[in-house]
Amino acid sequence: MRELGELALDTASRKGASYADIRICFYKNQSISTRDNIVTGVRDYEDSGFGVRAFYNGAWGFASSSDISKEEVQKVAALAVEIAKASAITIKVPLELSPVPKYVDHWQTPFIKNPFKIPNEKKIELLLKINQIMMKVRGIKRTTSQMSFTSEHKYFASTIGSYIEQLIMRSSTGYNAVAVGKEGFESRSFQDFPLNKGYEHIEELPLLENAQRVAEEAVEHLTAKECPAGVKDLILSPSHLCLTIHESVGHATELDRVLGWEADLAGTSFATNDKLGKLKYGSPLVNFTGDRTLPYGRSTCGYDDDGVKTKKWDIIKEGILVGYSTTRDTAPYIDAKESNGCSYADSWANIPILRMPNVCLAPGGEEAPTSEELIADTKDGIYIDGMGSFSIDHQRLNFQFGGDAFWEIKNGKKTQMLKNVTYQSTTTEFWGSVDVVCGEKDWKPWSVADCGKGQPGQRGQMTHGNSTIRVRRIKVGGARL
Amino acid sequence: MILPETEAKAILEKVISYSTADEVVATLSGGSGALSRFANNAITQNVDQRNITLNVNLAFGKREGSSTTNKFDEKSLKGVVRSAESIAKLLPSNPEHVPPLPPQKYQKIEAYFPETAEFGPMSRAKEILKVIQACDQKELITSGTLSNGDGFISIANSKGLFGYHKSTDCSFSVTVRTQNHAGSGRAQQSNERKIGELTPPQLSAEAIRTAEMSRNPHPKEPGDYTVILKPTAMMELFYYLLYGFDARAADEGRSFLSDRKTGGNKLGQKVFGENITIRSAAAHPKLLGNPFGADGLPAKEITWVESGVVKNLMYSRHWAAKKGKEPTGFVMNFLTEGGDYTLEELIKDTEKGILVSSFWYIRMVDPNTLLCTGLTRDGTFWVEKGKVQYPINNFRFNESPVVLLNNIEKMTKPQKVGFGLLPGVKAGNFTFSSVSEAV
Repeated sequence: MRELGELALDTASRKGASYADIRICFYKNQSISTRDNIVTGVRDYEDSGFGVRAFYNGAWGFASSSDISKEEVQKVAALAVEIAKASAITIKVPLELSPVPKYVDHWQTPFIKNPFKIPNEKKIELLLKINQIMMKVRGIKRTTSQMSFTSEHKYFASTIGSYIEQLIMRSSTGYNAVAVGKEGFESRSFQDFPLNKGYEHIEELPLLENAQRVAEEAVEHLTAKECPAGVKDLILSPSHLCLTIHESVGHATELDRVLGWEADLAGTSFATNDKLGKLKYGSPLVNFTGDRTLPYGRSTCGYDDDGVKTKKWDIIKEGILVGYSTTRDTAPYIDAKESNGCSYADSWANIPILRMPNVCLAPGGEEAPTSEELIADTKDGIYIDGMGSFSIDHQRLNFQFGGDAFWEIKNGKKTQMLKNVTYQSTTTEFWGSVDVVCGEKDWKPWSVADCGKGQPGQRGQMTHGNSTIRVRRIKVGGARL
Repeated sequence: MILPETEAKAILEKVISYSTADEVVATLSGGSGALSRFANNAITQNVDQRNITLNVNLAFGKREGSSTTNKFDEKSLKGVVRSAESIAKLLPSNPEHVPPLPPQKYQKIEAYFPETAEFGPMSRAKEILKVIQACDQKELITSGTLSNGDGFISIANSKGLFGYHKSTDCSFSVTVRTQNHAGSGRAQQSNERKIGELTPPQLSAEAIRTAEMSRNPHPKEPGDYTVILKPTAMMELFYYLLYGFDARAADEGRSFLSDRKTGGNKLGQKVFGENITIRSAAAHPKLLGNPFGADGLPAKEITWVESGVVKNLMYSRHWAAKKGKEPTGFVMNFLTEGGDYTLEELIKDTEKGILVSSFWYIRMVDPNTLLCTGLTRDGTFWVEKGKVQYPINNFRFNESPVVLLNNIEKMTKPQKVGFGLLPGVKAGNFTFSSVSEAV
């Protein structure tokens, strides 16, 4: 690998690149899916190739190929420089790259059980057993369950002299039950928090223990009371809040969006860099960090795809915007001394772009209540669990979220399930209305495993650990025919 | 980077010969793609990608296995077959297994144009530079993409079926924003086969015009309004409609096309307005789609909705056999009949209403009714007394495309948008539920 890497970097340098890097990647993927008593798919997918990035006169070029050979590496490296030269004819202000030290290192996810060595029969047996438990519940008409595993093995070499080898292991699972009746159809899911772990992650999850409850809640969901229209206090579980964090904080604080680099599709951000250190993003209880070192986090690794060592930093501190996710080519725009290490490409075939890190809400202090105490303290509210419908405007202000399951709270008690619950707010109004963040014991590392960004589109995965929160007086029930 | 037909056939036949399974279906697909992306009046990303993958699906009896690789040396080809076989041998039988198709007849659709595949990075940069210079002159901020590439798909099975199709593809999108971020416009062309059919100068002129017109939007309250939706906005809502046409979901009560009274589906029922007719035709000269689907079924001309009545649902091979129907495969493109009006005539015909250029971030809220939410973007205008009066704030909507397709009063001629042909429409009672301050 080192020889191929040096060949690519030498070729790119000789063609005129002032900086170049290469990633040579080997991916193994497995997905297993079942529906009721049927195994609907077991798919193994191996994929490998390399991508070369070249920097010329402050402009990028990138080329990739699945043919990992000396001849192809030279051809692709030369093409990357040719593309960078084409980019450069449009550049008025050359991009700058923030400094990065040279690293020679190896890093890997600390997994215990390699999921690719676990027999398929064992995985299938577990999924079918989950379905069987759910199918026994009267009113359930369809059950599905799945597992997926990825091994991402990559070599990175750059003209700075870095040579980094990493192995990232990912595991996830989940299941769903659909109830059908004269009222229509409704579902309930067991959404795990996908983590970077081995098969031990699957074994640690209470999968069988929750199957009957999930199915029963799907049936209850069907005949639940419609969401009232009005203003309610919301109590949001970690499994739900994960997605609200992702959309309203994670994306809004990506510096490439802030700079307008995503303006044509994903949009820009209201959290512009002139507001850094000033914008009141939320209440003083709201503290967010970016952290690519979080143990088992979905975005956790040793080095990003710029070759920058990963770290943890503040994004929102006591409600004030204080930081962004950055890469080597965006950090100079906020006069940062170094990148925060958020460069990532989902494949050898794709160019690294700024991807959201693990963006986590810090738990409340020692005096913070448990989620049960928080419910007991709420007179008129709605408790929301799990992820559902989500939509936010192209500057990350106006949003509407649903969820997977909802309960009415009256006088400190969960009284009955609700359905078709949506809440509508704006980012700063919502985070500014947070009056309780539960404590450390309630904190869970929920994750998003399928975040789309970029052109061509790429998949990002990241963890948004958080504790249950209460948000005062939010508009609900505005979505109806 | 496409494989010629003879080479693809040789690889697929070799792979099939390596297997001892009762049934084998092998598919090769891939190609090359290049995309130049610009923002803040300069190219920010510029990529070239090439890849080919081989997917092997096989079965021993009804026990199925599948494996995929992107390596084509002997060891890898044998390895992908062994991997799929070892999976299949350990699995229980799939009661929904369908045997491979016998040889099929496919339409010949000429969709490959070398000039599209050969359009290089410097050619893309020069086209983008013209757009940038037009915006520089007006002190506007532009971003967008210009992409081109080629691709192929080839399928073969152990019963002698073989199919091969190659195509080229190119797209252009441009967003223009004013310096003070008070106005924004966007225009795009996608899924074109010929590079010469892309019109970056016209599209950037349209985006510039919309950005300048949309500066300093006036406040407007949410509520139910008559809307004029441009074809791009229609396309964005249409995708959600087509998801609901799966026959099995409808039969099993999991679709807006499930009939709650009979327990069956709504095939043959009038679900949309009488002015709605939707078809698919792979070979349509403006769309030049694939002649066969991933399952090997030939693409057919199908009428999904005629004068508001549901005429067909999407039947997989398994569900079609179970229900005694012909399999349709999945919708690969859609053609919607429109009217004879121009967009200007729809505006002239409107006493009070909202002109929507495009929608953004549409998501399903309730699949029972296809209630969707999303936002307007890149040009929203107040229309009164037959004229565009002024720009207004963006809105969040909560509306079902089923309701929309019952409220359409007038339509323009259909226009190519993505992989479909869609008209602009004037429709009543479209529900905007909140204001978005985003520009």
